[in-house]
Amino acid sequence: MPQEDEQFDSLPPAIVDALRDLDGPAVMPDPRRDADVLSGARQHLAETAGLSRKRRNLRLFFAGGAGGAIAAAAMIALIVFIASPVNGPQSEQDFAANTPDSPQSAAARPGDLNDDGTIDILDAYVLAKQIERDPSSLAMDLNRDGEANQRDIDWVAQQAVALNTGERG
Amino acid sequence: MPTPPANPPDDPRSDLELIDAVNKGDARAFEALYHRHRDYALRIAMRFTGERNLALDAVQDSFVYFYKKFPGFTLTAKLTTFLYPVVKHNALSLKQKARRAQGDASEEALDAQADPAPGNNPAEADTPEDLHTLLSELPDAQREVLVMRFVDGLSVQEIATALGVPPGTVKTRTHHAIRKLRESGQAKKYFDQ
Repeated sequence: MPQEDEQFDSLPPAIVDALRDLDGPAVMPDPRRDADVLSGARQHLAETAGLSRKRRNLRLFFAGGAGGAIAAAAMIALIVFIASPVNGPQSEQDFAANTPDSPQSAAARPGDLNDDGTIDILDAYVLAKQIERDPSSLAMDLNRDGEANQRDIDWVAQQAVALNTGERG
Repeated sequence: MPTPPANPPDDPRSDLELIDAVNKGDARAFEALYHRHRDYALRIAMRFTGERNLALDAVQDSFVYFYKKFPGFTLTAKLTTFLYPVVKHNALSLKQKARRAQGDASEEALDAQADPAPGNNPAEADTPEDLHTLLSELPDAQREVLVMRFVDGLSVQEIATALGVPPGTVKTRTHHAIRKLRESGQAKKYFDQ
């Protein structure tokens, strides 16, 4: 409705003056309040200047590719952390007991199929693969019930999540 | 009447350039923005409080709020459209507090201050009283857009941004307000001139 828009797009000067009058008289500024606001602003900007510089530097740091390097390092650290033996050897005795050449090794840790010194979910995975490949092999009958099957995998998984209270084994 | 304190000469930089400088910690740039927009803010504050000290308080609070936005402030519209809702909110809030503090007994007195009677203002001596009454009787939302558009000189889009409503709403309110004025006996003659 362009015609109507035009019709409603202006006001007679007398009405505009009356609207302006509704605002009341112009307010005289107060120099003391001006000074308060401006000194507050100066103080705030001085206090945050260091923060602002730090933020800028951080932005430049990330923009410069350091972010990628940090992310890669964090990812590597996470992988190492996950793959490291949670219940690994804590003492020389433990270390000896878990050395592959040690006679105690297989007997003390029957579920440690990848021979990394600990029983974890990776062993359950290895066992599942081996049983899948050769279900008739009794070498994988870890719970000694006469069969190599899902129950053996469950047994390893149970060993993996059991609390290390010294009762396991 | 005392003369107003002289403002420092206006900075040639635009609002955007000044804001960029304040974001980098330049207090002088903030000072320039303050002096450029203080009087506009005072006018808005006075519009909603109707009382000088409350208006000055509202403006002070608004600029404190504004400088605390730095560093990191981004201007997406005009600075006046950013300031309008801030000043309006502070002004209404202070007015409400003052009313509560003074109690209901003096509410009428505050109302009288907030909506100055046309006859009490010497500047209105030449303006017909019935016109003021008519404008005062418009719904607040309709009068507000009229004032913003024809007194403050804001565009429909700027009013919409300042009020946080769609531009269509601003147009509708303007249309309704002007239609009421055109259809009223008191204002019709001004449209016909």
